[in-house]
Amino acid sequence: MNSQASGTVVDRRDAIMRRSVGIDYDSLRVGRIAWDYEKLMGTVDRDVQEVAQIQLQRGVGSTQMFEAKRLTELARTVSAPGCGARIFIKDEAANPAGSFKDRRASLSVHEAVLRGYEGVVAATSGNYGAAVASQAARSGLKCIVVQEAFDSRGKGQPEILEKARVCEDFGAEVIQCTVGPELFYLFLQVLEETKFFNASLYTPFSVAGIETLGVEIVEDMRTLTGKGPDLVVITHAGGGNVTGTARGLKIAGSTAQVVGASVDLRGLHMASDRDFNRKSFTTGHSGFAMPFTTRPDRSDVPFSAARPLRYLDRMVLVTQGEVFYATEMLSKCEGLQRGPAGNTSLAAALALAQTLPCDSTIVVQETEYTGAGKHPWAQLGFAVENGVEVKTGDRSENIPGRMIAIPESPDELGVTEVDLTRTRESLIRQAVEGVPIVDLMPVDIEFLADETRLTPSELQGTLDSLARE
Amino acid sequence: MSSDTSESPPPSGQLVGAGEWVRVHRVELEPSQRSQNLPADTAAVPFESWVNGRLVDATPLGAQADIVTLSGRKVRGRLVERRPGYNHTFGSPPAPLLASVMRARELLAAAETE
Repeated sequence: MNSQASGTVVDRRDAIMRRSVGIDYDSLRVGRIAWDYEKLMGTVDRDVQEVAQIQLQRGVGSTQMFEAKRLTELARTVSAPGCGARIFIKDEAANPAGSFKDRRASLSVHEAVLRGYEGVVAATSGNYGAAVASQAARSGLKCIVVQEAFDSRGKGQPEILEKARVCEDFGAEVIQCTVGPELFYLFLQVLEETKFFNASLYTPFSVAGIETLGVEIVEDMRTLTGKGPDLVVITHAGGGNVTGTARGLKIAGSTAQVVGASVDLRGLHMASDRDFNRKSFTTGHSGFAMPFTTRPDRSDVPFSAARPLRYLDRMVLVTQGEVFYATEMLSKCEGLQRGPAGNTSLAAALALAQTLPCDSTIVVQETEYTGAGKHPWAQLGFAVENGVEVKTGDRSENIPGRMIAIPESPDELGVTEVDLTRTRESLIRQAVEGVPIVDLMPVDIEFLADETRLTPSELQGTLDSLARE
Repeated sequence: MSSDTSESPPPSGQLVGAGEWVRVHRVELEPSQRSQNLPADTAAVPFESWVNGRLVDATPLGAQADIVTLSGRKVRGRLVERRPGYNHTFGSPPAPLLASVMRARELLAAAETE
């Protein structure tokens, strides 16, 4: 690949996408900026029960929900009288490749089989690669996973190396790259060369595959407690998890508050060679969550099916130290070794439970498998090797990339609220970039209202202030 | 070794046989060819890739080689490793986590005796 080649392949991006996803994204456009989101989701052409059936045949879903009684008890030891919500955990690690990502991969691979593709390609350093590789193996499809894996010294994060191992074990080719957005050019080249299906995280198939998780959560909670959950915490990065789960919750008639939880890694640049190995795990990175919330279409498809601001009631940040704390407590108090993905939500849940009444319920909507490289001991050892200090301390002492402070006591846990009003303004600002406000059509205004859940008057106020700038 | 390319042995010229499982390295973009608007540290280094596969012809370590990957693609790159594997570990329990565990056990024990 050279810069000229990468330029050419990017020029052909739309054609490559159309062929590799089978969706004519241009046909969805309805205004200057607006496009039809529900029509995009409609390309799945299956209801949630049919999706669940496909997943059942593929060994995916119907995971156990259990009450984390000892963790609830731990939170209650430091809660105000009458407070300490019941914490429930949906054990998604029980899926074939060890995470909820199997739900996303199952529908994508099913689609690739139906459409006659010879193989699938996914650009991911995370569990999704393992899930796609596993599902491809079940279907006899070839699989390629493109990973951002190493810094320029050739050092790889233990968690990403573990993902590479799993993908290779499932028979996938793994292309491992150094840090940088040029991974996308390589991804496009591979799609063009192989003519495989683009099993992007951001297609409607990938997001619809998660809706079953939202539905199961409501059903499980009705069985266990007699009613739906009061609050569901969802680990949030690219936005698919929030979007798919929340859509499923709605389908099942839930009124639960939807809370996105990300790991506070503000200040660490996503494309920085040096910063790459100064984070301990790749999950729920605020460096993905913030930009993907305000500009969802920065993904590897023209229009992303993951639109988190349409569904988020709250968005919170926790520290890496708190995630390590939650991981350790899940192991020591509940006898469950699980990885950092769901434990990002669990850290938030342990803090939020302390502020909510005893008879209310919080669901942590996923767990992931753990193992060498994904385990806190390995990750904290890696942090120290890379010059990050690890100590006992309060959440306020965490400095992304420099200091991991692990709470000693559960009352030291907390969450940092993300201002969703400002986040919505940021989405609008980026969505209308290059389009004069006066040129927006009524359908564009309606689209922005759906994107942000703002009332017409709130939206008009934001647009007026943008027009004045 | 795949888990840490920086510790790969320097190419020795040792001949690797056809059909062996190997790792090739490619410089995809030199720094001057990289994307605009990269952070300075990333812009200063090449964009590289590594892929594993079966070696097509006997080739000395360090030389250009063709491999066939698990997806059946043919990839050409510098032969950097024979029998690449994985050696990431679990590590050892860090003291701060142990402190949190001791505290949690005290809190739970106190709650149970109330």
